[in-house]
Amino acid sequence: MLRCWADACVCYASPSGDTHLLPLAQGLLLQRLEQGPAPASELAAFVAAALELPVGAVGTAVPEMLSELGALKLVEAAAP
Amino acid sequence: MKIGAYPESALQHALAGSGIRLRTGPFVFAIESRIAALAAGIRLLYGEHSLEAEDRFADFHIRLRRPHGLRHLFGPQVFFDFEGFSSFKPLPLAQAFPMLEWGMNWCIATHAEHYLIIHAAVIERAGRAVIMPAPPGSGKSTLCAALVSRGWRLLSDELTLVRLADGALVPLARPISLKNQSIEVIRAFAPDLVMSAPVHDTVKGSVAHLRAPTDSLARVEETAQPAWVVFPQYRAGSPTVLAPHPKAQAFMELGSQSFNYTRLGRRAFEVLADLVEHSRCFDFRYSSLDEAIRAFDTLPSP
Amino acid sequence: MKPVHLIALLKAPARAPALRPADWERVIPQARAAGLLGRLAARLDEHELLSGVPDGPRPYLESALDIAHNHASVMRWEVACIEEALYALELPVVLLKGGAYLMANLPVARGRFFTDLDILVPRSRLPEVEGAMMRSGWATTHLDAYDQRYYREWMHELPPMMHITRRNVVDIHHAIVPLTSPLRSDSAALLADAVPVAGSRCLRVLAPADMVIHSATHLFLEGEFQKGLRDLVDLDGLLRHFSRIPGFFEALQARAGELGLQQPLAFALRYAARLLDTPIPADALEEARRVLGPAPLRALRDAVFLRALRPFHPSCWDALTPPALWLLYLRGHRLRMPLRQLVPHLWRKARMRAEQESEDGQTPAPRMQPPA
Repeated sequence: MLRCWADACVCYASPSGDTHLLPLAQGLLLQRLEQGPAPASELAAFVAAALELPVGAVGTAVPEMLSELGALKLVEAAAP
Repeated sequence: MKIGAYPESALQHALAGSGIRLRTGPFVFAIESRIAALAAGIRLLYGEHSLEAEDRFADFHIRLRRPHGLRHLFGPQVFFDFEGFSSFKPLPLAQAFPMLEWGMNWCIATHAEHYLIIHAAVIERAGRAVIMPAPPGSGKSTLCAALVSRGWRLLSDELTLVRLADGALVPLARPISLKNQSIEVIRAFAPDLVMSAPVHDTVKGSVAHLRAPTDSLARVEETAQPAWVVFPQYRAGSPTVLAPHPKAQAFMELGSQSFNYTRLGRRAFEVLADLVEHSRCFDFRYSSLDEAIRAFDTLPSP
Repeated sequence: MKPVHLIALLKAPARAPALRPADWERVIPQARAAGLLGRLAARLDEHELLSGVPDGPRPYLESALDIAHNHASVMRWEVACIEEALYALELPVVLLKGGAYLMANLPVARGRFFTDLDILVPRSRLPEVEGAMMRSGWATTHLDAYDQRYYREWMHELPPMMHITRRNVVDIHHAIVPLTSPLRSDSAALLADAVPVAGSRCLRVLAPADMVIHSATHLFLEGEFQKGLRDLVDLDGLLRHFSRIPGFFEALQARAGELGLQQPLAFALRYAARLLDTPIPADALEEARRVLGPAPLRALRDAVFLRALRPFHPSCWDALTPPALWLLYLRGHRLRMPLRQLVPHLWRKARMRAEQESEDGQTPAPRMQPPA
């Protein structure tokens, strides 16, 4: 359950009942992953397009953002 | 018949006997008390309310009473009992009416779990409501009282009730509580509003209550739709400044100012997200009530 | 004694349409006091009577059911966190009470709101369990040296552990009866017969007879009865559900005999039948009567328990209720520890309460604190 606004996103994590405030980029990652698993490269492209930034600027940050989302138990690694 | 039309002695008699039933918005309180002074407070501040019949379901049963046994040797005190049990430590007897108000707030905030309840004032005009969450000391109640005296309808000065089924804001139209300096400020700013005599030396300082305006009470069954969330901050000498407040942050602050957001889980998330979605969110700094009124008159449309 | 509206409705939900506002004004406060709003709502809902409840009381029932339902999801998550913390230790972790009812999908879990999770583990492995929980973010509470000793040396559980960030509480038991109690229980037998939870790596629940016996022991060793009716309603639900197992009541009594817990079981069967009309075979009730002693003693026990098990609300009390509650308070302590420990323990509790009250001094107004 994810809602995004111009500044950031809020996310209700269903099993734990926690509500998280997420930076926009991470919210977009979650939004994309809600549609199905994806490799990091595809996620970077998605976020870059949405934020109108060059892919290179986003790409290096994606693994760290995914790691933070993983720590919140909002995402997990899927087998390739 | 309106409560204000009863002689005080009749009201005392009813309170000391089988009690009275008072409707405040969607809630009926069954109130019993042998404390004579309480009748005066109720008669003044709920003067425009009518008593409910005994056969209407009462949501909450409360009693304000003197201590049993030897405790009265510690100076006159009043207890607040909810459904037969004392929920709080006693207060000095002179604070009986404020205790009634605080106790009624507690009942609603603790037990009315069919609403998302936010610690915020909420007022409405022309079909659109402003929600004003604020920690104590931000001047929320003063601002609320001032706006209500200048044409805004009062839903509540303390408890914003968001109906879970549809996100509508549900009015209470109960007395507005004022503290310390704001008592004189509002007395001067809105002399037409009916105000109780101040009660001194409470934990919050001096406290007084304003009767809800007749129009607000007359429309208590009319819900409102949220249009603005305004975070007020009084600062002496400050110019009047309305600045956008980011929505996701507003969501988190409204959630943290709620009594039951966590308990209500995902439904609260959805209702609150919809509320923020449909509202424009602002920070509001002010020192002049007149300028504040003008700013609210011209809030940008959502 | 006066009839109790809440109990009458729990026994016969079909009465709901005939209730007047004045009746609902008894039911709702009694249910609130007893912690049974959600359970009552679930019972009415099962009979398709909830939507027909009048506008006044209905929102309190519906919201209690919704909140219990929502909370159940959160508690499943918390159970998963415990599993995550403990599965590497390769030992049986038996869920007790609310956690067990939830994970075993028992009907009695519906509408039941609970916050603490209780688990039973072998006593010999307590240090490892405590260590593993700490590494996963739970910290011990009751840091006072006396309280620590109370729990670790005398009671059947560690001091409650609270998670640092999530604030949920887990009670870790190694027995179902305190060490200092005159009653004995055999944890090894309980652990050996525990039933795995579907889909879990290490979690179990007690076998049906043991679950009933544990619930009975927990209730009838208790000293404070605010949750008495709620626990009895749990017992009623468990008995009704498990009575479908052929030979259940015979197995139940045999097991209670093995564990030395015939008395708590006898109380449970007798009072569930008396207060909640739980269907129990006549010979089981007869055996319960026998266990509970000669008629005068039984009559005294009835007088005390039938009052204490009512909703904890003044509308359900009579003049004898306060002394009955006081007797049970003493009895509860006596059942937990011998007199030579009990007297200093109660003295200490009373002193601490007095200190707390005198510290408070200036009485605070009700504070409208939103949750942190």
